[in-house]
Amino acid sequence: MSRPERIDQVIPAIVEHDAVSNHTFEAQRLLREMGFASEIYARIIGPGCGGRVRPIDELPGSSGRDHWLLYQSSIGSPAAEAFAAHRGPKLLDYHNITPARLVERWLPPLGDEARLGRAQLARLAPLVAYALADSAFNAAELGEAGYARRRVVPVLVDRGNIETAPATDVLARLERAKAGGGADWLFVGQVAPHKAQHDLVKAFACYRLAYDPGARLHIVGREMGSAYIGALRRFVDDLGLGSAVEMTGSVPTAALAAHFACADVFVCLSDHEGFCAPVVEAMHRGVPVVAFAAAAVPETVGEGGVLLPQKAPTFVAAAVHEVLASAARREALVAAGARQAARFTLDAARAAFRSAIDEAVALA
Amino acid sequence: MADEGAPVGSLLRDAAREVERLRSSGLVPERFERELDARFEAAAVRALRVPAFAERSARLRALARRVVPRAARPAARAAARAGDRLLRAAYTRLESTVRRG
Repeated sequence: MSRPERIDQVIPAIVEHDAVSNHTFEAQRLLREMGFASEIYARIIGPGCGGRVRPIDELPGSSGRDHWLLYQSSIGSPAAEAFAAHRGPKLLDYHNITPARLVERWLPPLGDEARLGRAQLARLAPLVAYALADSAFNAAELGEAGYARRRVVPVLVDRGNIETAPATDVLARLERAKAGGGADWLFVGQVAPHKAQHDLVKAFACYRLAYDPGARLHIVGREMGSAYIGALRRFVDDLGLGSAVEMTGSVPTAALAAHFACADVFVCLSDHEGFCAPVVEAMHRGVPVVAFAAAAVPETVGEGGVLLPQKAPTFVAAAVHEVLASAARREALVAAGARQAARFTLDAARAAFRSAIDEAVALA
Repeated sequence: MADEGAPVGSLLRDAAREVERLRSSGLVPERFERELDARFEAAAVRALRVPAFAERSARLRALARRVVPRAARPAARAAARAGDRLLRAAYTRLESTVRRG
């Protein structure tokens, strides 16, 4: 087959400060560098993305086999139907779909969208020539869904999240608090039930009780719906931790960098992650990682952090204490994290993406 | 983590020993964990009891999709979220007042 002239991308929703959205923008840059014309079409376009993304309604019909589409799959959406209806060859990039059971209690429409996403993933399998997955965990799910040709291509991590200097005002505020003593725990990710920030608060409460009454927990990320964060705030207040637990919402990249700069430990107790880019960012920025070994997290953390086989609050608190109480352990973890993060550099992920696209074109 | 002197296996074993020490000393009794679970569940039940019109009503969402122009949707979505927060706050205040008698 001849090389396509254009490879456009289709994505259900695109927003700022989101790993899949960042990946999509970086993929567009790469596709253009490879000589393809490439636009992004989305059904929902978040603030700040408007100039760079087109509405899905404007997706041009295929003029033949020289117009390919790449679908970024992470949730059920009518965008998948527009992708399926297109006549040109198709690629799919799978970022995993949160199991409905983890979210439907809190946000029933999201549970429906997650179920729809799984059904669409299976329906698209016979239409897709080649699939990419950002972890072996995700590639295995693609195999179960019937995708014969698939390849692992790590998330194209946002360079800004790794290289941006900390915001001085945020840094000064966090450093003032740190000067008063107490460790700083950090988690970065959408405030959502499957990210289990409630388990984080439980473990943090045990840690303060057992080891460090001056410790602080920073939960950084935009909220998914209002019910879960409402319960989380109520829970924090009920425990009397209102002044120790900070929920920032979505923050600019420089503020995020300040949080990484002041964190003593990055703790992730998510029940489901398709990759978990913030873990890589923590390892890259020299913050030791303690994470519950769920879904793709063991693959991303590798030997670069502490993987917990369980997340009983006292056990998590004790594990964090073991990391922070020993300078030797902490330093060894930071070094191991740096080695693991090097596997996920943007250059390495870009090379894997290019190679996958070349292979897809050669096979088609 | 492969570094000498800090393997994860020994760290996890030390953490497990710490848990036993914290429990046997009474510093963090098992019932504290159960209490945390119960308190979060109570917070969850209360949060979920509060109506969430913007999130729950599929009919309202479908209607909005038909009547709100695409260009106005981000603003409409933000307004719906703000309205939802106000409704939740009002409901919570009303509920607290009623509970206090």
